[in-house]
Amino acid sequence: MRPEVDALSLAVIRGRLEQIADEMDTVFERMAFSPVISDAWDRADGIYSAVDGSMIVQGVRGLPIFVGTMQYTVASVLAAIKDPKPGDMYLVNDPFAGGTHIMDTKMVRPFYYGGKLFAMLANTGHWTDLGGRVPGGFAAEASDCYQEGLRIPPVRLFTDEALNSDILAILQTNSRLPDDVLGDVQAQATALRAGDSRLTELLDEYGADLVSAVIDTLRERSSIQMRSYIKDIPDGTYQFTEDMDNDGIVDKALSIAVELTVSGEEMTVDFSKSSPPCEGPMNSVYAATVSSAIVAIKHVFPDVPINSGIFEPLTFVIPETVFLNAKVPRPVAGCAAETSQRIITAVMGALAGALPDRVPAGSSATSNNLSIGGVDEEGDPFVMYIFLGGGYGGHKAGDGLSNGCSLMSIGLIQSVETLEQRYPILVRQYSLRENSFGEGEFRGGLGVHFEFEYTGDRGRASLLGDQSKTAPIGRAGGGPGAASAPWFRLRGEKVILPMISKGENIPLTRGDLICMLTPGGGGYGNPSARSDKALRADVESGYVRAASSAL
Amino acid sequence: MEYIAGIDVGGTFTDVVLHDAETGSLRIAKVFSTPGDQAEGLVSGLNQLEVPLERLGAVVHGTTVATNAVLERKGDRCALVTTHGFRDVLELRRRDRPTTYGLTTGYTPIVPRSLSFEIDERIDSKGRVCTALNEDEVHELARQLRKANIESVAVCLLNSYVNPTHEQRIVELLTKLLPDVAVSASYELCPEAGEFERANTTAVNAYVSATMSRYLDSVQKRLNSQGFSQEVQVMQSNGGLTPASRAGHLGARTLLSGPAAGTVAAAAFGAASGLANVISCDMGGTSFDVALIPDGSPAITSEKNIDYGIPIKLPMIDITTIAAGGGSIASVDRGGILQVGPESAGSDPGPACYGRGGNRPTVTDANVVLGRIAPKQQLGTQEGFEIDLSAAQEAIRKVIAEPLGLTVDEAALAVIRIANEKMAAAIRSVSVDKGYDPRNFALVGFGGAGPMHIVELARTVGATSVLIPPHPGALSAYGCLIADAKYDYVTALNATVEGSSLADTVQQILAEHRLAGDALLTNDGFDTTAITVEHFAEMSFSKQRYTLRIPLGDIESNWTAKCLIQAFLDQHATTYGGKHPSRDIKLINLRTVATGKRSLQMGAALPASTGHALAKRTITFDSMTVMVDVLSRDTLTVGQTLEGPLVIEQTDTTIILPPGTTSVVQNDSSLLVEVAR
Repeated sequence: MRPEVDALSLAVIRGRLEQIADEMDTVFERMAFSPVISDAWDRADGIYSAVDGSMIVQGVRGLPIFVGTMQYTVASVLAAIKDPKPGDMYLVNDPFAGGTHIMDTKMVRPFYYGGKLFAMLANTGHWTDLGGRVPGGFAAEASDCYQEGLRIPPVRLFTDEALNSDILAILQTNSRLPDDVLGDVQAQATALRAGDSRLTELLDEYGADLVSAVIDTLRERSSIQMRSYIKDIPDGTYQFTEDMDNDGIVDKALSIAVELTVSGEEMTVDFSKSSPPCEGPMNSVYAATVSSAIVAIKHVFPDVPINSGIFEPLTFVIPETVFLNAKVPRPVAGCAAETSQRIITAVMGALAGALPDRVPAGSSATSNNLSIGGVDEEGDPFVMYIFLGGGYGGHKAGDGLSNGCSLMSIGLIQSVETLEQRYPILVRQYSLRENSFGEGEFRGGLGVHFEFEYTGDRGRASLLGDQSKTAPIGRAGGGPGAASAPWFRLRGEKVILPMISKGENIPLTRGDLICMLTPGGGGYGNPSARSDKALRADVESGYVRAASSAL
Repeated sequence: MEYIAGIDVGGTFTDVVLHDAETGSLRIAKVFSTPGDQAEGLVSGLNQLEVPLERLGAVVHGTTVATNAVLERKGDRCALVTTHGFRDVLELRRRDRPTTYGLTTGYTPIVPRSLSFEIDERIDSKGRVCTALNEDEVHELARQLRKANIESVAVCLLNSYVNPTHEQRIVELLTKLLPDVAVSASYELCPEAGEFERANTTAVNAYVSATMSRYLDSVQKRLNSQGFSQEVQVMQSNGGLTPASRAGHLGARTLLSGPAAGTVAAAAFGAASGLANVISCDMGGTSFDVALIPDGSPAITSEKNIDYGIPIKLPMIDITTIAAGGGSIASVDRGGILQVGPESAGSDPGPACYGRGGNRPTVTDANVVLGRIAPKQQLGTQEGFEIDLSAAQEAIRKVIAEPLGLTVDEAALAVIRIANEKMAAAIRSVSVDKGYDPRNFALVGFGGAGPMHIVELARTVGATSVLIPPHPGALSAYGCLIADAKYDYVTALNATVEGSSLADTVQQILAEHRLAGDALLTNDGFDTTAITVEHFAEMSFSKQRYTLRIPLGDIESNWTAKCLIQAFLDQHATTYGGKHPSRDIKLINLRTVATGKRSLQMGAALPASTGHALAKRTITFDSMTVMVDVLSRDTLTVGQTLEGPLVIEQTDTTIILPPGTTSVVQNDSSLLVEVAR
């Protein structure tokens, strides 16, 4: 019999649980070695059910894409492990075991209280390199998942707090950055231990029965809350299709076709009219597809709670016949960073049909994942991985943000000065990309121009991007933004990749240039309604060249 | 010169604390701030205390002039000069967005793109010149800047923290060509890696320099005209003073002027009561400021965002602000769960109990319902303003109590508790962030609403001691009064900790810092014996982004690689408790704080009389509703012991001492409260 949960305990314990997850995030990012964790916050920490892995709470600063994926990870660990003990910690990165791409490496710690398994603590972080055919893992031409890096099923990496050096040796041997592997493992383990002691304190203070009851109640309340948002959406069926450039191997568009059916307080999200599984790495896995749809809903209704209860009124239809529910051995390197974003813009596009005032115009939805491996000026090997921002769409109340982060991310980019300290590059230009915004009463934000010279030796560049063939759309009469337009200058020759936004192991020599021109956001509302003052400012600031403007 | 004055100009009130060296007495004035011309409120506050200004030995000022100019983007007409290709360094930020979810927030950079200029030059990350500086372009730039009629200019070139020669030359030329324009140089302000943060800090400094200089000039002139003969001192964000003539050019160093002063005072009162570890808790109408003060020194951060996309890369007291205050609005969310904040009722319409049309319940309304704020209480200095108890009850009943199935009192208690939980979470996160357990700290409660919440807040955190200073509503002004002068120095190294010459390099840099600090402080009038230095090394594992600050004391020599590595590993273990994953360790920066100690003899700080007679009032606590004594703070005597439940009133705040507390009046009139769990 579960105890009665009073209103005060519910609010207090919810806040405490959220804070435990936040503290785990802090410890993890402070200690991590991979810059993509410490700078780009490509990580998440949370507390999950020990019964089915469902999400109890995740840190508010966790990377959005992980909001819906982690519970599938924990469920896969629960299914795989036989004899969990206090002080054990499991490692897994298998995309098909509730994951995303191979680089997102999870650790899961069974949490015991009073000798009983109470919950699971887990975190995930993007490790810079786990092997595979290209440094950094974004292999644009991988034709199966075995080429993408070391795939790890749930394995017990710590037994009674002791690190299993055999497994560690396998990990380090298979990474181009073995030091980072150990640094990130220690950071993740320390964060989980911090969560363990804080959760123990909470249970000491309130008792396991009350906290369990609160956890159950939170799940119910989250479902009620989700239902109330769905109710805000008028009943009906709303469709939208986003076309991705290609899969990196076959130059043919991939369609994400979503159909939202809202009926009262319930919603069905149906992707079954999307393209079939593809040869290249733009396939998505089930967990990442579901999570992307949740992120889209949260971008429109930011107060949707981060708790598994929100899934209760939602039905997902993602058959294995579409590329958004790929199975082994499909390659999936593009799922977390690229396909996810277009799922987000597709779902937001469908929501715009229902709630035209609440959804901004189309935003940049490619990260232009760029990795370079090579040898620096001191002769040391390196792997650099960066991704770039773009313009957000204009919206009912204002212009779009310029250089916004990827839609499923929140991460900072390393400063140019830090990049130049760490890697053999010289950045020639990092600026807003002029004329890249969509016109409108409220214009889109600008994309960026990021251009650099390679100053190392024996370099190999790989690019995994998209949105070079279809630009972010305008809404309510606004115009589209500019599409992505990356180019290279290799040994003096300007090169546009055959797949434009994708290519791998491009040989670099000293002096070669790489230039990313990222998408600008679409405009919102009729451009003729834009104020004179705003138009003048656009010209004065050079966001638009006077010659090409309407003035 | 028997008087000194600390003056804090805040958004609503200007507080003046006047110290009489002869009698040791303190007097306080609280007048409305005058937003158009803050100097006016400042002078009228001083005049209210009827002090002859020719007998005033020092005026120390906490100011929000620079802060407001930045937050409201109402600073000078300012230009940015940067390396070719990097004109948009400000607007690009670090690609972040202000909220994790939602895509509809905009950003206004400190300098618009139309006033951002590029110069052809380039230095690489090792300090080598790739493209020489084109001086003709600088002359042309000067012409453009004159044409654009700018008041100030910020210069920040790529990698100038490694090799500042190009930046120095541009500054030299512009200073010569544009003598009326204030020039801020990034290599002088914050020579550290990170072009966006450095450029923004420099731009902010330039952006407020003309405004700050004009303002401080006007303060100085007004005071001089009434006989004041000294130079006004200004409180910096690092908790130290600097003369007004310098502060005008260093506006970016004053952005947390007032809050820093409050923290300095909290540290001083903690030390006076023998409390080594304290946390300052300043709760006002809209926000809660918290700072960790381990071992008597406020924790320092070397970088902080003061707004979305406005990082300041300068040492400052590490003050965390959350939206929790008396005006925070309580609501029940769609899932039926109680929430407090982050929305605030502000002053218009304000809490429901103000009777100005606000019908959403706030934390203040909850305090009114529970009898913690007296219905007849005066708020600020508004005449004839009475609290509307029934409006507060009605708002709590309708919005909180009924939907949650609680009584009005239960609902009000829950609102207070959730507000306290939010503040406790902020306290925990600043502590955990630095590797401390807040239960080992005493909380210093101040601000208008702080003393009302502080004991229950301590219980929520698990702390057992609370300190309430004599004038909780004017603590920042008091902090100005007692602060020392402080200057910071930094040198970026970004070097692997190894090699036999390291100790010599470290010694040379630290000695340079010390000499620079000595020179400035001597110039400010400090005797050599009053000057102290503290050195710090910022270190990390070479792959980590976050550094740890390792205190080196005043020792400059013999910092060998071995010594530094050991110091770092020890600190890493204390802070994170994790394993050491690597021995590849970097020395990122060396820092020095030079302090000029002011010699002040502070007497007992006796609070002013409230005029309230001894009374009784019914107050609701978690455990009981009970009739309690209401004391006036000026009737307390040193050494007196007080058992809760009890209410103590004074002009600037109300102190609530719940059941289970024992309080002792300290020698300096502070109240030290022991909180039973």
